[in-house]
Amino acid sequence: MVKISKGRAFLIALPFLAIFALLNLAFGSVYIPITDIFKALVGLKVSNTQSIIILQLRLPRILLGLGVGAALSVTGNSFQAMMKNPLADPYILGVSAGAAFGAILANVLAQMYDPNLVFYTWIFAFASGILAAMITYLVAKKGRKLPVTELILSGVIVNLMFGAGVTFLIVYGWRNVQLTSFWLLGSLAGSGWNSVIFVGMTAVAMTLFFTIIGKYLNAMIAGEEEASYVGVKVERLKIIIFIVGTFTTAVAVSASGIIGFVGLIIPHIARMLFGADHRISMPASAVLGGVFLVVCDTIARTAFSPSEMPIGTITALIGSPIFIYILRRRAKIV
Amino acid sequence: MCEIEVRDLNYSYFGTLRKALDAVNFSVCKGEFVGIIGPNGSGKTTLVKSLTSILSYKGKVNIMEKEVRRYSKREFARLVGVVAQEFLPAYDMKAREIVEMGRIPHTGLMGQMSREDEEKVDEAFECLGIPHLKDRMFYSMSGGERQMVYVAKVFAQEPQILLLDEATSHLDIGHVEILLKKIRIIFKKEKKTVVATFHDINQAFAFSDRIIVMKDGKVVADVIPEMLTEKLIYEVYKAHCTIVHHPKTNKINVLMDLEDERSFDPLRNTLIRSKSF
Repeated sequence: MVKISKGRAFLIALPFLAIFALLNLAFGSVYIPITDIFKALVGLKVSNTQSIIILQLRLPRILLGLGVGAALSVTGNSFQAMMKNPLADPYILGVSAGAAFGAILANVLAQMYDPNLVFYTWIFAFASGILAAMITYLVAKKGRKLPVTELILSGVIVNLMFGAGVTFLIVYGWRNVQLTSFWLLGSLAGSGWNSVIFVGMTAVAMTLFFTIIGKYLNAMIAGEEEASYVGVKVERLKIIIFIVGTFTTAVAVSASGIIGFVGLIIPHIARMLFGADHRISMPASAVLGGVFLVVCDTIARTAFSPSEMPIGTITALIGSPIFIYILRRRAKIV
Repeated sequence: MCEIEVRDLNYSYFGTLRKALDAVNFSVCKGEFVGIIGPNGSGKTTLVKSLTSILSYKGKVNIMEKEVRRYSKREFARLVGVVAQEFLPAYDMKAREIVEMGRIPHTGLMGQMSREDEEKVDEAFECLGIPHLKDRMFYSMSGGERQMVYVAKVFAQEPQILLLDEATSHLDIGHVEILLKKIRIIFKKEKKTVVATFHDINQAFAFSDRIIVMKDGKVVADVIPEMLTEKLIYEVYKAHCTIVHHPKTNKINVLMDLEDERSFDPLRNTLIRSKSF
């Protein structure tokens, strides 16, 4: 049976992808031999500097990359199913612009009032991202229903609104270009174990959740009426996906800024490789998204060493050609 | 008591005053095959959507003596299956994965397919004679094959009542024959009910036990096919036609009077030269 062999192919690919992700520990401003990496990981003695670089700098960064990549891809996949729209991504509801606005606002306020506010940046980002999504929801809501077209349109409006707010803050309040690029293009730099644990737990829980409701998502891509004919409570499901997706995106963005393209292209690649069945394409999206982001991050921090390219640039640079390729292929099939 | 009871059903689409359904009354008993015909915009699809409680109608729609709104979605999906005009998933899927959707109302929260579910899916493919399509991708199929897979999905759902909403209107006659024949034979054998709207009235006459004719949201006739007259067809469709009996099956058949420039005026019972040509 083909379905099983797809799942099996995925399981076989898993350990290779995990090893591949760990190989990225070797690269950076300082090259560390692979043997030393495994020694450090299992707790054997290596030099102090190397151990700090691996365990305190690179490992959390790679794990954060896996978490953020998985969270964004899984959310993107669920939005693409819910909205029946191949161009949907986690940022379509305005969470990204909202989070960026919150983060930059926190920094502006820190400059003006209390420097300690900088440490609460991620809370500002998270709250503001959720706020933006709530506005989107309230604008789109029609009675007890949440029509998808309205949702996409109001998401666009909210994105523009908060985008304008970001520009306003940058021009009038605050001129730290590097931090702006952190929030607008994303970065995994400076990630501590705290955010790794938070993002990682969210990513794992959400991947499980979306895999479990995969059969309902399958029905959703055939249309809302069709889904309701096979017993899916469509409106309730949409609101659940909306809430869970918004939360996941806000977690990811408040940890790493707006990393583009992952949530858009990875679900497409997962569907191309493993089919559209969400019971498989969800875990596949999570793993592919995580590994893709880690690889992009390695390129971002090594190719231009010692300075760093914002990871959003790399994902877009690698992601765009892949996406164009898929788009052309789709056009041929349909 | 009949299986489907519709009493004083009214519906207007949001923001319009026109009644899409206007005091519709009818009932369908267990094991019947009822065809619904009427011109475009007469309310056939609205009626089907009301029967599935997708639309918030006014009036009473009872299925198995229970108001359709009061069923849980899952419960309802095990009772009623719907085949619409077209099924088009946003992303390409295997035929098998599509038919598996039919098992959603029967599986638990995790959606794990049991051995029995797998068997039902295979059965649905066998039943329609399309086991060769199981592993084909949906987008690569012809319109006819897609519709067969779609019906297989609804068969896997094992509904007691089947609603067809112009399910055959864009199929060639070969697919129409195989699809409607299979549905009729299987549902008659298991004494299950079918309510079908038709675009093509001859298909409706060939397969239905009873015909409900709709116009402007109202039921204008509820009769066995043999009772329909040319006059009624003209009043409903504004089409000139002749009713004949099929030489082999003896079922009634409507022929359109489109020969050259003349058309038949059923009100005067004469051939007239139409000015509109």
